[in-house]
Amino acid sequence: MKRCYLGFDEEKCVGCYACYVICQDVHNVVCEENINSRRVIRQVSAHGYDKTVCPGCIHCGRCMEICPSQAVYREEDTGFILVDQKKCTGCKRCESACPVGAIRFGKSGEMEKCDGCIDRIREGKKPACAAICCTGAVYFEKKPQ
Amino acid sequence: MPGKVVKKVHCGICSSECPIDAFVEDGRIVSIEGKLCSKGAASRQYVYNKERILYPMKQTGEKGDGRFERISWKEAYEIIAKRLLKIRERQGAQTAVFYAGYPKWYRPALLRLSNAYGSPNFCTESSTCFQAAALAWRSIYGNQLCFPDLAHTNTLLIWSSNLYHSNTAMAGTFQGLKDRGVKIIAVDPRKTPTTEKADIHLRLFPGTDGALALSMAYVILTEDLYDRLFVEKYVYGFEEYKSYVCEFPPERVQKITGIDAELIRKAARLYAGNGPAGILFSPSPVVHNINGVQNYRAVHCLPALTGNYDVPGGNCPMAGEVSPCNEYGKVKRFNKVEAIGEKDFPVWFDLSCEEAQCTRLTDYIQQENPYPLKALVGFGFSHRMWPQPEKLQEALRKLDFFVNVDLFFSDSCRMADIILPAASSFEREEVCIRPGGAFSFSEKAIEPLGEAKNDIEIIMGMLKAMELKDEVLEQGYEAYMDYILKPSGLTLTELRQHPRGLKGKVCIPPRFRSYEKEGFSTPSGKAELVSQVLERYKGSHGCSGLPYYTDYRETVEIDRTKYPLILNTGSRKPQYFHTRTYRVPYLAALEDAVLIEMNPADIESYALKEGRVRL
Repeated sequence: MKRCYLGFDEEKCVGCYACYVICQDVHNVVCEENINSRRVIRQVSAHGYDKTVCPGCIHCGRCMEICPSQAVYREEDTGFILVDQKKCTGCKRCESACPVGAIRFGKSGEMEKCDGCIDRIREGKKPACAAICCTGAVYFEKKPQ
Repeated sequence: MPGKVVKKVHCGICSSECPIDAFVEDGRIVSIEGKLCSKGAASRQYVYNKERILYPMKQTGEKGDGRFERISWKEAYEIIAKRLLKIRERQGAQTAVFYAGYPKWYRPALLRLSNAYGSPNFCTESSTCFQAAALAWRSIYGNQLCFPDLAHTNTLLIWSSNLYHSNTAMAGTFQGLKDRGVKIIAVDPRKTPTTEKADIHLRLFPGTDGALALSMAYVILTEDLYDRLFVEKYVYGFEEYKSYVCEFPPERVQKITGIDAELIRKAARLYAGNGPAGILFSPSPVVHNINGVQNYRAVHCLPALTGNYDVPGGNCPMAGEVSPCNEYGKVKRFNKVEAIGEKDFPVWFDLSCEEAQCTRLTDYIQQENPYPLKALVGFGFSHRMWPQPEKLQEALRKLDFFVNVDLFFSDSCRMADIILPAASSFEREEVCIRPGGAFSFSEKAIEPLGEAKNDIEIIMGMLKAMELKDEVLEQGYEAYMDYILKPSGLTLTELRQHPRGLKGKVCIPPRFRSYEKEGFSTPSGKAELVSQVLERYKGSHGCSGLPYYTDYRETVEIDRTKYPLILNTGSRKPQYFHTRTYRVPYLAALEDAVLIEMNPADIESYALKEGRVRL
């Protein structure tokens, strides 16, 4: 069994938006518009200027801890935090608990979050955001448990 | 997954041609993989875009109405041939302009079409962009603009390039330089992710690049940091240049550029003293200025002054292996008839880039000078590239015939008589030239959308319909790709089997200091700090052989106390490339449409607040 880690290094991020856009693309079969990215665009003050960065879910589990309906759970193989949308009541407590601000809500109010591209990982690929990143700011590691 | 195939494609949005693995199922691209920027990440929305032109169409209303009806390719070619041949017969071939916008890959084929038609007026978007930077270089060294030998450089001077946003895929190379301990000097008015990583950031007022470069030369000369041997043997005009440079001590230039005099000294000492040093140029920001060419010439003089020309780690013509090939940069423009721009910009033609000069296209159409222009054959023609674009859009109305080939229904298409659908790089095959003497092959991932066609096949179709002669284009596209490869010793069949790249069988090894044997392709045979070509037009056009600095704040008639701020509209955003990706919904939604970046000090002094305009 492997534990996976999806990390983000703010220092290395240059705000190119590639991870943000590919996240929309991989979770979108057709080319719909207004598709949520599970990543975030944020301005940070670093090195004397406002830099744009695109952090994302690091699967810390805070949303799982706070969820009153057990809709959020830890997937066994990867250790990634996933949501069972059928159990989600839309109470939005997870939103305030998320340190990254990476929790979204779909059109019917159901919670949406990064699934670590678990289908891609099962195919032996990296999550799309880590695979596309040119600077190494978004990175993926597999660690033996 | 069953039925899913991987196709090796190159992104065609900008000129970097980044490799993309396209996963195709049932004839549609279902996903993409690669180290890409946001533009490449949005490839599927770029390809399957609602605004794609899918069929040949002809204008049915007045020009500008945007009323079009679908026609067949056969009818489109017939109309194009009839109209263009009639114009050639009645007004002369020179009255037709053949224009290439983006992307660049089909340019040699379009030049061939223009030549076969008999027009001297093949021109490109480079009239307002890269070719001016290349011309500045050519006026000194006589060859193509030389990029730095990054593998061996110890100091890299990055002149006005935020490469993390304009060439994101270069991030790994840049970080490799940092890891190797290469010193970075970045020249940029803004603080960016690139300047953040620099050892020295020279934060100049926009457009004052020439003064900064001349001041760096001042430090290099007065502190005796220049390469005396190279200068004595291979440089022309040194004494005149030296006495001009004396007018630019850092204390004076601090007032012009806003950069601290000591920092200018520090940068000059690092560039000249911690060699070999290379300069990484950007194509456009410096030359988008009324003194642009001269500003860049001042920068381009620095390698000659410091002996960083054609040495490992410097700016070199042949730092890597090269495999010879046909077409790109090899086709000569028909020049027996005066081209547009020839009278206004003679240096452009003397230091030829094999293109006519179309910066003043609006004037040439409206004033019928040097002669009336009647037809425009545009590939990706967008009036928005030109200064005062609305005036050009209006001038297009005056043309007898305008055909535009494009991916998207752009505003310029509204003025066309015929519009033709181009294919994206996912819908065609292409032989690509790669660094290190290699070639790669961009596979066709999907069938063209609608009735879209590969640009070069469209050019071949026009040639055939007009019954014009060109021995290369007449052979068809397969043979054309083979023709590109021929001098390399590779065949298309071999390359097809290795789409991600094969090295040419004929390879020329890296060469340095070739000037020792061959000299320079300039009038003097030396590196010309005083350009003899520019000197020719001193009296007639006010050109100066010296890299003369003119301050736009003194020459442009604007009350600078009333309007002290400078608006720069050309800054590169990571998600956009010219006008090419604005209609991609993922990318258009990333930032508010109106975004102004301002210096925080200015924001404070004008008591502005972030609101509808983000500051």
